Amino acid sequence: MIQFNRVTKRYSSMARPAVDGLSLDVREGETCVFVGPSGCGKTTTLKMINRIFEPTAGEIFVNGENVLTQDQDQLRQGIGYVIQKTGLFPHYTVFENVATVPRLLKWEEGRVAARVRELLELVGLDPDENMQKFPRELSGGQSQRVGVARAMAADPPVMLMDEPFGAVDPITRTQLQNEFLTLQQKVRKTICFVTHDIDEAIKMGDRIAIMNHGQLVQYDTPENLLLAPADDFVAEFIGSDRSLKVLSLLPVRKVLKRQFRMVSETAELSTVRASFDASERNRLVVEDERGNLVGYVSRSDMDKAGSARGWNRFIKPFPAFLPPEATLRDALAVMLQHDIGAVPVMEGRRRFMGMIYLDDIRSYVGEAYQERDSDSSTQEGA
Amino acid sequence: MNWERLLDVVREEGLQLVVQHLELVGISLFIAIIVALPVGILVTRFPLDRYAPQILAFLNTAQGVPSLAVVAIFLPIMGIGRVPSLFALTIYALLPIARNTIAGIEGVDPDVMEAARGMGMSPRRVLLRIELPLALPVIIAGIQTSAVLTVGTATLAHLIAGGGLGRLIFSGISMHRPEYIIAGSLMTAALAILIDQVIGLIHRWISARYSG
Repeated sequence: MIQFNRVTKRYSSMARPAVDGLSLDVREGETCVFVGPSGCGKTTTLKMINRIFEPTAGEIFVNGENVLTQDQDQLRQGIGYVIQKTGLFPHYTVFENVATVPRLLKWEEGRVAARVRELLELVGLDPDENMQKFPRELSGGQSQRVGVARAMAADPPVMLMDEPFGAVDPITRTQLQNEFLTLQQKVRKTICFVTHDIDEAIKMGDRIAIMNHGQLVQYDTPENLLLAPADDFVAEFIGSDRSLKVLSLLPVRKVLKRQFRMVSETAELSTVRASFDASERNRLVVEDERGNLVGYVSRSDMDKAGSARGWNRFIKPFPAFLPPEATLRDALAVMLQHDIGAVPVMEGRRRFMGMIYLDDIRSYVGEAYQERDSDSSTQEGA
Repeated sequence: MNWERLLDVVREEGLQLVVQHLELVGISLFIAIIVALPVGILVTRFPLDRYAPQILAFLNTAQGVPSLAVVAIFLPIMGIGRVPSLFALTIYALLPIARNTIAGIEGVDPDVMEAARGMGMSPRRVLLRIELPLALPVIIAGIQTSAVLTVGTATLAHLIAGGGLGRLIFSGISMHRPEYIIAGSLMTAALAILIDQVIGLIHRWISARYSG
């Protein structure tokens, strides 16, 4: 979808090229994250796609067409563009901001209005509440959402995002990242994304392009990057905690246990004790009659519970829950924070999907590395 | 000093001179806006935009040239009368407007500019829809400065037979009639304050609409 063909960019003020002979293909519907230390050429690379910067040599194709031979404004109207500080027009309302490109394309006003509504809903903003606001009335997270909506207004197949979540606080950032991943599941745009944050790259990218001194060092899936870094630079850039980062590749949805021993809150104490006897775990999940999550009981409390009834006063609520799109890394963080060995996964506020156990996380990391090692040994053998 | 005489002066000549004065200010300010705005915009366009900071610095310095000097410079070239007066006043009124036009446009958030261009707005559209509206409060402030300056400077027009409230002040000086001087000065000051307030009102209204 986007092709770089030996692209070089030199600035007259700099001795070495900012981007040096870059060749790379971004596939349709994929998110390609450009990452590297500052000055590695990642932003320049991104901005050559919509010709904010013109390459000194080489060619760039978007959807098979050479960007350098196209009308600059027309090219840009067909590419969504999101920048770090949003660049929202301060004198335009949210509506007018989002309507910018559709109006450039001379859509009729009814269609523009419908599209703006649709987009604001898509990025999680109530249209009626926010349409007439000015950017100064929005929070950082809201501004960035409007920025994304504005970039997607004319439904461009390609989106460029230059550190889109770099200027918001960590909590909002995580939230925006998760929302964006959900959104991308739906819209399947071809996205080029620049960040200096390797964790963000691993989380957001289908493929990651690691750059250094204007050159592409490794272009691979996050998994391959973590498990088989091409050289010392990549390994160092990813960080010594790369085994931990493997965890952020997997949503809990894929690892959670749906089948496990539970007790009903209306059960007899003997039944609960029998369940503990049959289990190795020291805690059991308690559900109500309709299968909703109630909390947990621990083995030691059941040993203390004297009478047959009233054991359920020992039921404790879980201190934390995870949404299904949270990663194993999030799960681990929650477990450490609350000193628990298991976290329930809830869809929305109510629907109980299953549990994540600490052992599952451990075995997942172990397996990932084993698979990798056996893979490489068979390849070497063949 | 004769206070009744002062009131007589205001009654007899005041209105006519104020109208004359306002004409001088209005016409020169109008021409100054028409000239300075496009010049200011041009300075922020390629290829002049590279020199915008230097041009801005020059305009700031040029503002330091005394108004009397400006009037004096054009005397030998253009002679005396209304037209030379308007010409000198216009030249003097140009500077703050041009300066603020450049500063206002240069002051537009570069991220906003990049977003506008990056979405495929043509340079012309960016200028009309983004740069000028966002620079407008600063430009109006320039016009405000210019207007107030011109009201004061226009008193000098009398020296080259251009009319206006300067006539009261300068005849007062030559005839040793302090009431003339006071009447002329007070009316000039009142005019300056009035114009400042009116444009200030417009400025606030525009800022509320276009501020970031």
